[in-house]
Amino acid sequence: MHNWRNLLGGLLLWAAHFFAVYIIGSVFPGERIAAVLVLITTFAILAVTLTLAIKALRARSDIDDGIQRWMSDLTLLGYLTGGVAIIYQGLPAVMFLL
Amino acid sequence: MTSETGFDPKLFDRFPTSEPRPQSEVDELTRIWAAPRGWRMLTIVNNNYVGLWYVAAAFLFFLLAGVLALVMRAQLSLPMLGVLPQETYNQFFTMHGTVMMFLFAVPIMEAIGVMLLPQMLAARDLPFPRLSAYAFWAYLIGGLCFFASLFAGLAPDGGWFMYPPLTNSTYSPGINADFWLLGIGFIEISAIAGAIEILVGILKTRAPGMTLARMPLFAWAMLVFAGMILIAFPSVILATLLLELERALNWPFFDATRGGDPMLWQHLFWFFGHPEVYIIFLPAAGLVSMMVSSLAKTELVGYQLIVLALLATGFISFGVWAHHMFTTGMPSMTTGFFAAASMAVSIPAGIQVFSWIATLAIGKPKYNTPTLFVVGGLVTFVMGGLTGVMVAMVPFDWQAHDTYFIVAHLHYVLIGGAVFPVFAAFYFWVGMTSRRPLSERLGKWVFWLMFSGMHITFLPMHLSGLMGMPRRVYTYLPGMQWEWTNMLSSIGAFILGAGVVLFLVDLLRNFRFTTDDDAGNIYGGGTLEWLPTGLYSTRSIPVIRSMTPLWDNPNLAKEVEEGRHFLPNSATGLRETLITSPIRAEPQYLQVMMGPSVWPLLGAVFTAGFFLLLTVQAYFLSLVCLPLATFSILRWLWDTDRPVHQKEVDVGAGIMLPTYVTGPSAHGWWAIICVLVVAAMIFFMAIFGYLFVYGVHPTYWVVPTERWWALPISVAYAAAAVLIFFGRWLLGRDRSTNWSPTIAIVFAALLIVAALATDWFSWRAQAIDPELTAQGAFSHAMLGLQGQLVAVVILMGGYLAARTARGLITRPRNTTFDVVTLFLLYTCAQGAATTLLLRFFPVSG
Repeated sequence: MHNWRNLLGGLLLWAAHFFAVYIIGSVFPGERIAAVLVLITTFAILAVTLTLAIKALRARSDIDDGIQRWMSDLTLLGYLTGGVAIIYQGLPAVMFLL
Repeated sequence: MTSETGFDPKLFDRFPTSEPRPQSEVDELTRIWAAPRGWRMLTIVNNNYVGLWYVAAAFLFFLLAGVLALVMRAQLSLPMLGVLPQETYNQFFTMHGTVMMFLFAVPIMEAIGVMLLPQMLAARDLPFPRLSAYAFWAYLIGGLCFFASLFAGLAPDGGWFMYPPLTNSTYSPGINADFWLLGIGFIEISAIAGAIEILVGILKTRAPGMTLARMPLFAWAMLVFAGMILIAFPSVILATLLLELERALNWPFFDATRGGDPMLWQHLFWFFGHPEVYIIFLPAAGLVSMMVSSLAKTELVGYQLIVLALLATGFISFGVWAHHMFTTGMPSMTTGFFAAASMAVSIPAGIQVFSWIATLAIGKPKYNTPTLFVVGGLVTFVMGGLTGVMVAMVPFDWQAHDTYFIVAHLHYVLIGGAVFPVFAAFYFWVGMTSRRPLSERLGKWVFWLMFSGMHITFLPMHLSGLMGMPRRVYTYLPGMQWEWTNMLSSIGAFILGAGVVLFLVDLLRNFRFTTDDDAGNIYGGGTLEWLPTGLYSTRSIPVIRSMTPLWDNPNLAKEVEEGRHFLPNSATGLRETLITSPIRAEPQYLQVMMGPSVWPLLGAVFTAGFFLLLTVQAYFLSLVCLPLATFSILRWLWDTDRPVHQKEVDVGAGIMLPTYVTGPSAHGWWAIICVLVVAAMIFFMAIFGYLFVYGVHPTYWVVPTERWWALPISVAYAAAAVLIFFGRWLLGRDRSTNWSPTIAIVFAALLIVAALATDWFSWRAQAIDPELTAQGAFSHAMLGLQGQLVAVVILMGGYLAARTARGLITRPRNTTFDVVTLFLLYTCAQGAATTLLLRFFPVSG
């Protein structure tokens, strides 16, 4: 299963972030604390995404097998997509605070 | 090169083999895979037949829903027309939306999957052919009965998303809404059955060497599609169940006066409903990706990016459900999250669109019929996508919500993103199943009529909407400035209809079903479905070394026909296919497959009978159907998981593979995991509902007393789990008797029953009435969900005992035993979670 977990890592992190911020927004509707918590969550999950992406990038250089390299590339693209979507998802909190 | 399973990839170099293979092998394959004739055709399970019937049935529903649309457009062509009375109009628009979404759009994708995937993956068939047959029959029978409700004036009339309170028993007192709730719930079960078949088929029956990096994009799309169905559809199954319980038993899940909330329906419905749009779009996108490459006669640009886009869409589409609810007064920041996700999901769609444009730009496409449909679909989808980004912006959505602008948007997306690609696919792949291709000349007429008709219909609807025309009105007053846009839309609809009629004429003139002398690869596709095939699929299963093997190895068809690849014969004398590993597609074992059977058909008939008779309140007959359906399904399963005399067989070039494996390598293990994912999602959504209504109306909730009951109940579930593990351990021990493991499982099942009974009666003693508050309703519903699992546990216990008595439980391992233990373990976990949730939430008053 670790192959699938790696492959979907970025998107799973996006999902975790999305549902976390949705829950925060629902528990503290319209409150400033919600925006602060969303930003903290966003930075935390972005940090995890970045860490895992760097780890995947380092591991990639040791791969000489075609399918593994293909999956590694896809994993990195997944982290990139997930990272962009997480930043995007955090923006409503920034707008709320402004 | 590394291996996923221990299989030596160098063994692939033995293929193609050099020695000649006897013709008798082909004759034997033909005999083994032959389809029954006469009335026994109803028992066929071969994907060639079931897939085609499935496609035909879905297309029939497309036609029926299309006719409803034309009548509605006739009604709206001028103000104050009386073509349809108001009540009938309500039924027509509800049925149009429901039939198009539930009986055409999703099923046609599953149908195309069932028809194309085995050949595309070079499998003999998908791994559960009887499940495909069951899914098809359940869908056909359920769909036809559902549609027939229109002729009795009993069709649902609350809109295709059936919002309460309009659809509760106060405002929709007849059985019309029940038809929707029970009918759709049942049809979704069929869709889930099909999704399991497709998901396991793609992961486990690919040709050797067809790694994930070489998998056809349609297979990738169907993999994501099936996964999304498993996650999304349980939500609507739960929603329909809750609303039906509210209507039948007066349990107030959605009644705000008793602590429920109608918004809960919207959350549950759209958690399914918006991913559904992508569930429809992704397979179509997969078809387009395959066709674009062949039609442009070049490699697809950005294969890997498209895979990423498919996966990203599969995820992000689950973050957009509430963009259908922007006007319901959600907190502004939460609204922002959904707006952001709605815009973000356009990025992967954009990646695919740019890949297709780039492929067409660098290739040399001829503007034949499928190319026209692909390009026309692309243009239309992009237009719909742009209005989608508009309505993803909250301020704009507030203005456009529930107007004809939304009707125009959704039709652009669905027709451009799914209908045109499906028509392109009809023309492109018809050579696989017909002696004659469809007519190019007529095809171009069909395209231009449909394309122009579509735009004449729906482009003016944007204006109708912006001028304030609401959805779902059966007529309008003169002088509203809506006359000319509506007249144009109605003219366009009939032009679109003319295109579809011309397509039917083309089908009647040219389509001639065949399984052996088909028209072939008309458009020069490079993937495996264009290999010569019979009912057994390809003569031998080729080793795959590229994404487009037919382009890269012009001799492949000849090699496959000469039996120079895997499985050139029937190694066991039975129906069989190669099971390969999920990532590298390394051969793992030989699966013996089920042949024709009447039991899937009977199972579907009685399951449909149960639901439909329940709808018309024929309770006795309905209850008669339930055990009959159960018996039929168990009888069909009885033939499966049989010991094979040869433990290992030669699958070609001297490579020996086992005929039986268990655990995560087995296709049955993957199927039960899929079932458990569905069960877990239903439970998860029920927890969401439970917490949601508490969050909205906490004053209606009481703190449960006698929380200590959670302890003995949880201990009983834990003890059952220990017994299950013990039984599984006993199965591998030679020193235990044949009955010992089964007895452990049966005792575990009894413990589970005792735990549920204790939970139920101790909870009932709390006097939290299910009719008085949403807390009571939800707690009883969650115990009811557990009761459903426990009913299956009882059946499984009896089934396991019966198989043990017949000596069908092989040792030291057995797939049926594994399936039962996994299901029982899940039941224990859900049962313990239920009792803890009910008793410890809310924590305090």
